[in-house]
Amino acid sequence: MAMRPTRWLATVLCVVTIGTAAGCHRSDIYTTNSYYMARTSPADATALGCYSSGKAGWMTLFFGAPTSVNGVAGATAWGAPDLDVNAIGQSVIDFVKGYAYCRPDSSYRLLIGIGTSNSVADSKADDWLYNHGQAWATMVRNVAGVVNANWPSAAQVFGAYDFEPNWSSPWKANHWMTGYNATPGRPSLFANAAADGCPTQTANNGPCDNGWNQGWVWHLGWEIDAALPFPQIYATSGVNARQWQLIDLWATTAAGDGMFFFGTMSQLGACQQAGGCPGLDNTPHQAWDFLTSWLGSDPRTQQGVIDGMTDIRWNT
Amino acid sequence: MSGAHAMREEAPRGRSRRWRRVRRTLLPAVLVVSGVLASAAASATLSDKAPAPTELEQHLQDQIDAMRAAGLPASDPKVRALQATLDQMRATSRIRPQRDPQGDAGALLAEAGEQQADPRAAAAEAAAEGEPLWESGPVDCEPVPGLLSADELAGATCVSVPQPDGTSRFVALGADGVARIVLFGADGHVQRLPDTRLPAGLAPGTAVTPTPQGDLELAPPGRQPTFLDLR
Repeated sequence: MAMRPTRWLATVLCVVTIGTAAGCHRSDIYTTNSYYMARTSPADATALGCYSSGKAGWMTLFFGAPTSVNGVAGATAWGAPDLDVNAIGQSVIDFVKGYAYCRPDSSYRLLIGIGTSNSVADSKADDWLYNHGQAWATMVRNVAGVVNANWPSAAQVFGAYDFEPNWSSPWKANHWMTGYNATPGRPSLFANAAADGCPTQTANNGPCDNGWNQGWVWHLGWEIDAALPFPQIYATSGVNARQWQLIDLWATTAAGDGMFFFGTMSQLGACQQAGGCPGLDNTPHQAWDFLTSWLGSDPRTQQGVIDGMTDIRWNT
Repeated sequence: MSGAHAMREEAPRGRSRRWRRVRRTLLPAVLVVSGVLASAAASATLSDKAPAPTELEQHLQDQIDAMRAAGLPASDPKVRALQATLDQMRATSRIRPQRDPQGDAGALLAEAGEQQADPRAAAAEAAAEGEPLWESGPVDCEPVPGLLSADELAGATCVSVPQPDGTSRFVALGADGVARIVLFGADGHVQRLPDTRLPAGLAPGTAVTPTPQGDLELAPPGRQPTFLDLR
């Protein structure tokens, strides 16, 4: 995918016709919220699904860092009790239950990522991470089956992985991702990822934080078959979008396999819940505009359609 | 008209009358059958015709088209994955949706409403049932996005401390002697509280134990415990 001569035409035409990029955004119905799941009881998850019933499109439910619960793979859910993959799967099923029960229009449908992260992965053994990735993929596959059997028109289920260079070495994240990707029947996985410390001016496989480089971010966010990139575009300066555009440019020119972005993730909602995070609180539309704009700054990275916009919040 | 002609003409007329009688008998049945068949055919045609794509289906199609236009082949794993998602969406969009196939959504929503109305009682009840809303005791030290960074957690001991009011505190006791605290509310509120310096630092082997009052007891080996007020 060395050149992309046409993918940006739709956006250009839209902007020319309407006058502003903002006018080219999807309807607000498709600007979803994603959630850090710090409350996961059946009632909490069902209520959250009901609360989300006016939305359709891509979103993620994050359950915290990978851990073990009585020898079973799971996640930490922050201050809440650790959950094994069975409890996490049930929580997602409860969420879908509430969504299907409350949605006002039967054409609405959520594409839900079940997420964990590379947080504290450096403290885990390589094999443990690989096996956890496999256990996660198996859970996601099974939940997808239950949802498809019970609420086939309401939701589809995927994996999700919030990988951030500041949280672990790239090798540790890669072990988890490789385990997920190798699992038979695994659904695709949203890469809700950050590009901490990656270059803001160059596209020569330059270094990011913590031993990562542009190639590592590209590898985990795109080269792995399961990965669908949904980058975190938090900075109001637009620098995050610039970092991802340069990763894409390096991938296009050096690896011959440029990225295609499926959506953006912002954190305005979580910032508001936490009392603010100045400089890192793009609205969903600002995040989308930054990525669209930076990708469009070079014909080799232009992308006409970026589908999803999701804004992360806490579910407490 | 000759008699022969008359006879020749009679025969057809006779057949015609019989035919008309047959037709009078058969026609309604034929019409009924034809109607049924036509209706069935029309129904089949209608049901075979794909419904208009939903907006979300159109979004996915646009995405696939854009990927193909960007040079990705149809066999690309991501194109195939997205196409499979779209195919599943289309196949299931015609299924009459069941609002509550498991029959318990209404009860769960009612329970959530009660919890929201009285978080303190809900937390107490959940704890009494052995399924507490919040962990109590040591937990993995992990970043709290936007509130507690990986750097701040280096070498820390982390504890979750439920509060009597139904909220919780995630406490990272740093090797630098600073307690970093995040409040998890029951109403969507999450907040980094002011850091607290531990008077005597955190000696190796210190037992850290949440109290029922929502404080943290710090008991260094061989010394009197101290209490960290987290409210």
